[in-house]
Parts: sequence; C-alpha cells; structure tokens
Amino acid sequence: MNRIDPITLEVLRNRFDIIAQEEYVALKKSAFSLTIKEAGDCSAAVFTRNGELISQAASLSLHFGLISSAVKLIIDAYPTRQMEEGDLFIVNDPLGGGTMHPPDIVVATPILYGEEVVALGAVLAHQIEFGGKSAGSMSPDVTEVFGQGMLLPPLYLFRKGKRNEDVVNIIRKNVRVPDQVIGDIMGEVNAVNATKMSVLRTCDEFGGKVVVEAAEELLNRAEAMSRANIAAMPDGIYEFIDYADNDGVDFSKRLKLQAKVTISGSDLSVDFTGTGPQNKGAAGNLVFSATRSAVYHAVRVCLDPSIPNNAGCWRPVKVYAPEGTFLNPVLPAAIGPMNVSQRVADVVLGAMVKALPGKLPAAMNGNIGALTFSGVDPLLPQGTYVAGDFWVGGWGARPNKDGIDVLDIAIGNCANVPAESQELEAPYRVLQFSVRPNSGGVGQYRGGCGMIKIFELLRGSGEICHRSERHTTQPWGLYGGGPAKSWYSEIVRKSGEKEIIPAKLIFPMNEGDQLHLYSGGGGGYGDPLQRDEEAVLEDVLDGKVSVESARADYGVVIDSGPTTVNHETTRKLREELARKRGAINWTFDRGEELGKE
Amino acid sequence: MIDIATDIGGTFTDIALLEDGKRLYGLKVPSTPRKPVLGVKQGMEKILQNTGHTCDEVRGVLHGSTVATNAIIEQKGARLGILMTKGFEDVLEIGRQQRAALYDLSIDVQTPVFLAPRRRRMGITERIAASGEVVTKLDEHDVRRAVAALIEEHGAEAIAVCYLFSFLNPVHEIRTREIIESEFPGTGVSLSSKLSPIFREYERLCVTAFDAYVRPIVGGYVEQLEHGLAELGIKRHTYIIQSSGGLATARAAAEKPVNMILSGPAGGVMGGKFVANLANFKNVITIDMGGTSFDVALVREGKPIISREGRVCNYPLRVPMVDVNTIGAGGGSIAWLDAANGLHVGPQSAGSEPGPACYGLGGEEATDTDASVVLGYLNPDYFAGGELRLEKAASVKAIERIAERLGMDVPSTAFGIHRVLNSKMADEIRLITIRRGYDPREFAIVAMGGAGPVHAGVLAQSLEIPTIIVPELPGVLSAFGLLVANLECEQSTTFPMKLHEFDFVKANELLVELDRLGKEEMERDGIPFNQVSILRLADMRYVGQSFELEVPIPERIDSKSIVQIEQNFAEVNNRIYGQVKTGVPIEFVNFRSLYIHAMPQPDVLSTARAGSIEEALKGRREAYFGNGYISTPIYDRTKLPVGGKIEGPAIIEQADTTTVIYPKQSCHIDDFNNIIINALGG
Repeated sequence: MNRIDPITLEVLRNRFDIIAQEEYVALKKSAFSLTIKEAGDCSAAVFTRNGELISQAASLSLHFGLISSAVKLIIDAYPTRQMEEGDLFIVNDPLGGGTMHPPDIVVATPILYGEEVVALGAVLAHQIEFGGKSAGSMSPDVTEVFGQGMLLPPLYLFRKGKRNEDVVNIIRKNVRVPDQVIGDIMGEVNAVNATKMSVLRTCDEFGGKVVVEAAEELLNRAEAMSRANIAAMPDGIYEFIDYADNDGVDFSKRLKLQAKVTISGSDLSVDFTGTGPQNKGAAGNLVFSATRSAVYHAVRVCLDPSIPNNAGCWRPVKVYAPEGTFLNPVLPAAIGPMNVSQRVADVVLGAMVKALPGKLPAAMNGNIGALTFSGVDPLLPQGTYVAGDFWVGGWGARPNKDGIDVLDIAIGNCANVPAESQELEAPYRVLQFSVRPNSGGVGQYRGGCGMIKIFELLRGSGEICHRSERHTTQPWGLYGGGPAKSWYSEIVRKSGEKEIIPAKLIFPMNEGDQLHLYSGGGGGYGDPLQRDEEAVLEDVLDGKVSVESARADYGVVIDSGPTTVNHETTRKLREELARKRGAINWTFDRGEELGKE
Repeated sequence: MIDIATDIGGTFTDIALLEDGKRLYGLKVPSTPRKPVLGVKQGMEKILQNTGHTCDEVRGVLHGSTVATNAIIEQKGARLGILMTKGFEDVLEIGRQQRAALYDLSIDVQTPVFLAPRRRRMGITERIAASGEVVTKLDEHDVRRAVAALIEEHGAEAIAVCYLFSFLNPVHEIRTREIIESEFPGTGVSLSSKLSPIFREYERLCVTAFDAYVRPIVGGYVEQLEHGLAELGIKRHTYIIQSSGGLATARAAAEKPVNMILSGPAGGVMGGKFVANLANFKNVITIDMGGTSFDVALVREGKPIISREGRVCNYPLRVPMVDVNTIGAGGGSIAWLDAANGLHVGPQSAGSEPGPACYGLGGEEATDTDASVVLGYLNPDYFAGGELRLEKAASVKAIERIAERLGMDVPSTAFGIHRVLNSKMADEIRLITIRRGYDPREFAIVAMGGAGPVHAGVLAQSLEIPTIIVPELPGVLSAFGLLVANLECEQSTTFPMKLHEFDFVKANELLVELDRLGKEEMERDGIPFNQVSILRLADMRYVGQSFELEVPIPERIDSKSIVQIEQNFAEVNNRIYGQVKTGVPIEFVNFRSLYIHAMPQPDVLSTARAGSIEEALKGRREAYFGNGYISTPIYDRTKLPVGGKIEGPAIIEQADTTTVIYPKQSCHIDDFNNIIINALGG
C-alpha cells in the first residue's frame, strides 16, 4: 500500500472532523424534541467502511461506543458490498448489540463513490418517545425488554432512495407523539445525507482511494498514540468495587460493580467478573455495548486529550463482562439506564487511581439525572405532552484545583432545558434552579457542588419518570478529601406530605404537587485543613460552604460583620483538628457507609 | 465638507478623511491605550492639518472602538450586580451545564461567573407565567433591599435585571429600573426585556449582564470622546459602529453598550465592503489573517451577513452582529507533530512574542510565517516595511526539525505546512458558504491582514473563486469601512403565533408599534422618518422546533402576504437544511424591524497612479510553489501603475502585507490601486 503523505493526512483529518460537526449542528437545529434540540442528546459520526469510527461531533462521549456498535450490527446484517446508492438503515436493538435503550435511534447510510462504499455516515438521536409501557419509553420498572418500546433490528429505512413506508407506518402506530418522532427520524436522515454529500465532495477532491486509506491511517495513528500512553502506565492489576442504587423494582437492592483493570505493556483490559447478576428491573441492567462504551470513556479521559478522537483509541482496550451479569444482560432483560454508565466509568476510574496515583481527580457526582414529564394539559390543543430534562451535579476536585460546580457528567454532555422553554411546552413551573450548598466534598481542593431544582405541576395530572443514581452511596474523595453529598429527590404533595424517591421511580403527579431535586457533588481532593483560608472565605461568601462547615471541616473560623477569617483561632483550631484526626493514611474516602480505604 | 472616520486598534489608531464625498485620505497614529480619546484627537488634528481642512467643515465623525471588547477580555468592566427572579440566582453560573472539550478533566468553569460572583446575584420575589400573566407581584421592598445591599455593601456600579418571562411582560423589570433610578440615581441599569426580549433565560441574562458590565466604561468613554471633539471645535453628531456593522449615534450607543462588544471585526468586514464597492463586487468573502487568527465573513448583495448566535470569549452573546467566524490560523500558527508524527498547524500561536522562529526573539517553533520565509514568499529584509529583519536561517532550522521526523525535505515540509493551514481556512469558508446554501464561486475574496494576501490565492483555487481583491491600504480599511456604514436601529418583539391561526389584527398592531419605537429612536437622533428605510423580519420555525429562521415580511400582513411568507420560510429552510417538512405547522416567534438611514455614500475618485510595471520591479527571488524553486519577480506595490498586468508567479511587496500571485494566476491594478487577481487563470 502506498503510504499516504502526512500533509494530505492532516488535511483529511480536519475535514472528517468538520463533516461530523456540521451534521451534528444540522441535526440539533432541525429537531422537534426537547431532548435533541435543547438538551443535545444526539451525536453524529463518520465511519470507515469496516464500521470503525473516524470522527465524531463533540456531544455525548457515551454515544460513540454505542453508535459504533449499532453501525457494526448494520454491517453484519447487510454487508457493505451489498449496499446500494440511496440505502439508509435504521436500528436500535439494544440486546442484539445495538444502542443503549429503545429510544436511541441510529440512522446510517453507506457512502458510495462510484461503485464502491468508501465510508458510512451515521447519527444517533435519543427520541423523546418510542412506545412501550410509559411515555418516553424510559420506565425504570419494566421487567422485560418487550415492554420498553419498539425494537428495531437493522432495517431499510430507505431502499435505493425510496422510503420504506412499511417501517415508517409501524413506527407511527406505536409511538405516542408520531409527528415529533417521525419528524426527528427524518432529521436524522437529512443529517446523514448531508454527511454523504460532504464525504463525496472530499472524494472528488482527493480521490476515493486516498480517503479510504487516510481513514485507516488515522485510526492506526490514534492507536499508536494511545498505546504509547498506556505503555507509560505501570503494569499491574488494579481493582475497585462500588455499588449502584437499585433496579427500579426492588428498591432495597444494591448492585455490586466490580472492575479489575489489567495494564500490560500497551494493552489495557477491564474485567467485570464479580459484578452482580442481571436484575429484574430495567433500571438495573446496562447492555454490553453501553458497558464497553463506558470503559472506552474512562480510559479515554486517562489519555492525552489531544489524541485524535477515533476508534483507534479503543483498539488497545479489551472489555469483558460475564453474560448474565447486569453489565451484560441477556434476553428477556429489561435494560436502559444511562446513569449506570457513569457508575461503570467511575469504578474503572477508581481502579485507575491506584494505577496513576496523584494524577486523576476525585469521583464525579456519578450520575446524570433524567426526567420525563408526561400527561394531559387541558390548555394544549393536542392535549397530551411528553417533555424531558436533565439535572446534573458537581465534578470531582482535581489534583491542582477545585471541581466545577454543576456541569454535566463527563460521560454525557447534555444541556439542561431552560425554565422558559420547559414552561412554554409543558404545564410545569420551575420554582428553583440553584447551586446546592455544602454538597461538594471538602478538601484542599473542594469538590464541585451539585444543584437544587424544583418543579410544580400547574394543571391537570400526569406522570414523572425519574431516573437517577448515587442516592445511596457517596462520590469518593481522595487523599484526605471528603466524600460529596449523595443525590436526593422527593415529591412534596399539595397536602404537604413528602415522599422520598428511591433513585429510579415512575410516579403520578397532580396539580399543585412539587418535585424537589438535589443533585450530588464531586469528591474533595487532599487535606481540607490545608485549604487556602481565603478560598474557604470566598466559598462562604458565595454560599457554597456554610460557616459551620468552614469551622468543622476546614478548621477555618469566619467572623461575621464584616465577614473575614479569624486567622489566630483558625490556626489553633486547624492544629487541634489535625491532631485529633491523625495522619492521612488512606486513599479513598467513601463516606459513612463504605468508609475509608 | 468632510467626514472623518477614526478606528482605535490595539497598536494604531486609524484615521480616514473623506473630502466632499470624493477624495479619500488616510493615516495612522499610535494608539494611546490609557487615554484612547487622546490618540483620536491627535490623529484628527494631524489629518486636518495634512489636508488643509478645518473643524468647521466636518459633517460627521464616525468612530470605531474596542473599549467594550477590551473591558471583557481583560475582565475590567464594572463591578456588577444582578437581580433575577428568586430561586434563579445561579443561572449565570450554571448556564446550560455543557462543556466544550469532551475528554479533558482539567477544564475550568464554562460560564462567565467573573461578571458577578454569587454574593452579587440577588433573587427578587416576583413571577411572570409562561402566558405573560403576573403570578406573583413584584416585591418592591425586596428590590430596594437587594439594590441597597449591592450598591452599599458590595460596591456595585451597574445592575443587570433579568426576570423570567420578562420578554412576554416587562412590567416588573421596568418598575425595578424606576426604583433603582429614583433611589440610586446614576447607577447604570440594563434590562433583559429591552436588550434581548426572547426566551431562554441564560442566553438573555448573558446579553444583559455583559451590557451592564461594560455600561459605565462605554458611557464614560463616549462622554470623553464627545468632550474631546468639542475641544477641537467639532459639535456635529458622532456615530459609533456597532457589532451589526451599522452606526448608532453616540447617545444610542451608550444606551445599549452590549452592541459595541463585537464591533472590532465588524469594522474590518465593512472595510471589505468598501473595497468591494470600489471594485464593483456585490458578493464578497472578507478574509483577515493576522498573527494568530483568521477571520472570515460574507457580504452578500452589499450587506454583511448578520448572526444572532455570536459569542464573546466563548460565552454566548445573543445580539445582532456581523457574522465573523474565527479560527486559530495565522502567521504565528505553530506547526507541530503529534506522538504518531502527524503534522498539525495551530491553533496555538507563537503570537508576536516570542513570535515565529525567524523573528529571532527566542521562538524556536516553526510557524506559518517561517514556512513563508522558506518558500521565498516573504522578504526577510522587508518585513513590516523593513522594521523587523527576519532570520531565514532560523526558519530553516525550525522547519528542518519537523522535516527530519517526517522524512521530507525542508521546502516540501514548508509547503506542507501551508497546505494544512490553507485547507483549514478553506474548510472554514466552505462551512459558512456551502453549509448555508451560498455558492462560494459567486463571491470574490477581499484579502486583508499581514498574511491574508499570502494565502488567498490558494484558498481561491481550492474553492474555485475566480477573483481576489487586495486593497491598497489594508491597514486603514476599518476606518474606511465606517464611511460606508448606515445608521441603524433595531426593534423587536416576541410574537408567539401559529401561521394557520394567524391573528392579523394583533400582528399588524405589533408591527405598527415597532415602527412607532423606530420612529421615536430615529427622530431623537434628528433623522426624519421619511428618510428611513425599513427591513422587517420574522423569526419563524416549525411548531416544536427550538431554532428559528429569519424570514422577510411586508409592512402589513394580510391574507395574501401570509402565503408569500410561508413560501419564503420554506425557501429559507430548504436553503439551510435542504428540507421542507410538509404538513408540519409553522409558527412565528419574534418580529424584528430594522430601521436604516442611509448615510451619504462616498463616490471615491480614482487616484490613478502612472508609471510602468518595469519600474515597479524590485528584483527576483527564488520561490517554491510545489515543484522546485523558481526565479520569481518581486514588485513594489507602491509603484504599480493602474492598468498594469502581472502574470504569476510573482510576489508583490508593500509595508503592511505581501501578495503572492501563484503560477497560472495573473493580476491587474484597477483604478483605485486595488490588486485584482484572476485566481483561476485563463
């Protein structure tokens, strides 16, 4: 094979990135569903004809492994040499190895230059609805995948440029808001068609052969760079155990996550043997493609961020989860929760902390909270509505700085729905949207704070599907840094009665009922008694740390009127607290229940 | 009768003087960053003296300034207080909870919290519903207490007010301003309902907060400017350029200072328009490539494309602005190899210090400028007019290091560095033309900046753009651009309405009301309303979408014009997204009316230069165009005669830039001393 010249290679790398980025923007801007248009729960990517990802648009990290699995399914069912101009495929099929849950719909098209497939364009969008037991198709308490919405194996959505109306009609009959869903699927079609045009123009410019070879070479290079990074890590076996909340059916259940990371030369493998068995409820099972994608994410954040993002980064990584565990469930398991994917990433990162001491942050809040609101609004012309939102927590403190307050979790990157958009489209009012004080783990560097968000149902009655994580365990702090607050949610009924929500629950709402959400923070890093006194004062002034916590956790005494640090008493208090505590001889602080290790 | 335009830049203040609308003069004086108005005064005095004019003859003073931009970049704006609906004090900090980099765990906070930390963001008891009804009345006591705390305890100098749904019902924001003005007169107040009356609270708050943040600085600056001009004896209106490329009177500019924040690039684009007018092109792509960045914008049918989704320092700033797209590609862009020996160029820049290796100021990394030196495009002895001698040996050494690892020779590596950077810039141009439904082949390129005319020839070739215009004085173009700008003001209102349930009475009432406001604003500036042209637009979308498209609408909407509007919407949709959704209802979101008072346009006389091409020939230099070094003629720009023709390859040197005519290209000098390059040959 002719080695492609380095200049053309870089030109094409830029081009592939831009193509993916353009399509992501087009997809988002023409979308109808809040999840796509406001929250951006969608991704766009270009693939080699072998189904390896070449470039991706900056949206959700988790999606790229998923979209890759889905494209692989399509290619297995319809080998690329049989694909024809104008073919477009649609798939979800989570247990068959496709996306994470039924509403994640992948649309892909082969890109034929002359007679030959040179690449594939694909997008993934989380549709607001895809049928099944409850509106939004994300109910945590379903016990078989068949109740979760429509399952689509790889199918022709278009055949030689002609839409397959059979497929469209079946979807239309099975979803609650057909116009929105079909509209957004056609938005996916437009986006991949635009990818096709851009890739074809690129082939005109450089020749199809060069484009194909460049793609392969770019993957090889990303692989080489990733391997170099991994080879620089100390060989060894590193293990970590943590627990996810429940499966949406048995609320007292804890789901054991066990990861064994083996670093050997330039290879890295993760083995989840020891992880708990497949669960009954949908909220307790993550399909293997999502488990693998979560591992890819965790490894990726340990590598140099400037390595080009393509499937080459994943080639050194092997993932194993025994069949029948809740990270590799089998039929007829109900499946679904995105938030467990971050927990998988966190448990891998816990093990990686042992491999790379002093280099990685404390734990993130561990979750992306997802809500689906549905019901009947007497004021809406069409009557029914389905809307959603994401609420998020704080980031773990870093080895040299505080964690960020309220930012979507690393494995995701979804936006919130603005209160004004929410209220214009669904009969809910947002009463509060603010930073949650004292929720970040204490430390020399403080963990990021979580948030508080309160909704009230104004009219009619409806349902909320609440999907969350880290309600029963705490994000860990490192090297003396404290654990962060867990997540917490409750319903406050119009009568004043309160009901605690056990992380994953679907429940009715009536006029005047409120939903109160408190998201978790990130763990702290390093000895809180060493934290800069002025930094503690700033946090107190900004309401992120209370005066009491400043004293008890940081040993910083804040005088009032004017608010200043009392340096003398602070010095004495810090000495005393340090003496009582003794030396810091642990790495992780996982809070009251799981303790230090 | 004369018009004077002044544009303050980081290093120089550019001055242009237009005599009787026909003869144009330009000069540069050093900027005086501590007292920017001083430089303006000095420049004006100098140009008046040079041209033998007096202040009495001045018809208008046009001005461009980066004072608002710098306040933000340097984070030196006002001490700001923010009032928000109670419970939403942290909207500024949380933003949309998204980040730009996917895999980097060491990023910093992604929102402009520096504008006001939590202690200076106060919640006020009040609430407007999504219907616009008042749910909770404004607690005036709360306002008084919060404002007193902000001003007296926290030393706030300006206040931004952003209540939920104020774009539907501004009554609480207006009352809040009245309270502040009566109790704390002199405090700058910015209201979200006035500045950006459109939904999405974080984006609206950003506009409001940035406006308040620069308000005292801009107010003080405008006052100094008018005072300074008065001292010179000039009492005519002063007009200031806005981010939209339109002019506003100094008074109006100080009222909405947020509109000045991105006016710097707007001046450059208007300068490109000025040159395009001279050369008789209506559609141009302006490119401005300096040391660190590449700015590109479109002027279509004589009007710059306006965006409403701009950003300042990567924070959203939802105000109308000339759509200038910037990427990190400039003369200082660093060429580097990744761990797998992949060649990258930029976005990091060596800047001016240490600068490219050839500056000899300690920079060791190879940059685009070093490549240009190695390729023979730049004259080491005549860079920046000879002010800086470039060390070619240093360039060679820097590029050698990369060439060795790539297994290539030095000239082809240098050529490769150019190719990588050129393709990035061409991709950016593709993005803002083809992706928006414009065919780049219907445009001409106006090349500006020190590095723009070096690279423009290749960009034009790869985009099949036939013509490149290199203006004579790219250095003072921003000041010239002010002379072709119009006086503009925009009024907007939210108008949530489905097309199929259209309320003609309501719509026309709102349009009349916008006209009333536009008239009031124009008349305050002394412009009779019959001299104002009006551009009316609706923001529309399919029901259920979140992003709107801009569609032109007539003065009054009736059953006939609504059909036309629907067609216009379908056309815009098809152009941008390549799709028309049949059967999906369409809705209106906002009405916006743009009031334009055309300023007298210059009809610049030719300053034709005589002479011959031979006299302009300075010598020859070896230059590399991909296939061995070729002996290439070098011309002195200042001696090129009008009508003169040059075949490529050739290099044309002038103090502030270098123009490369690539092989198979040719150029001629037009009546205004512009270089017009025939980029595709033939």
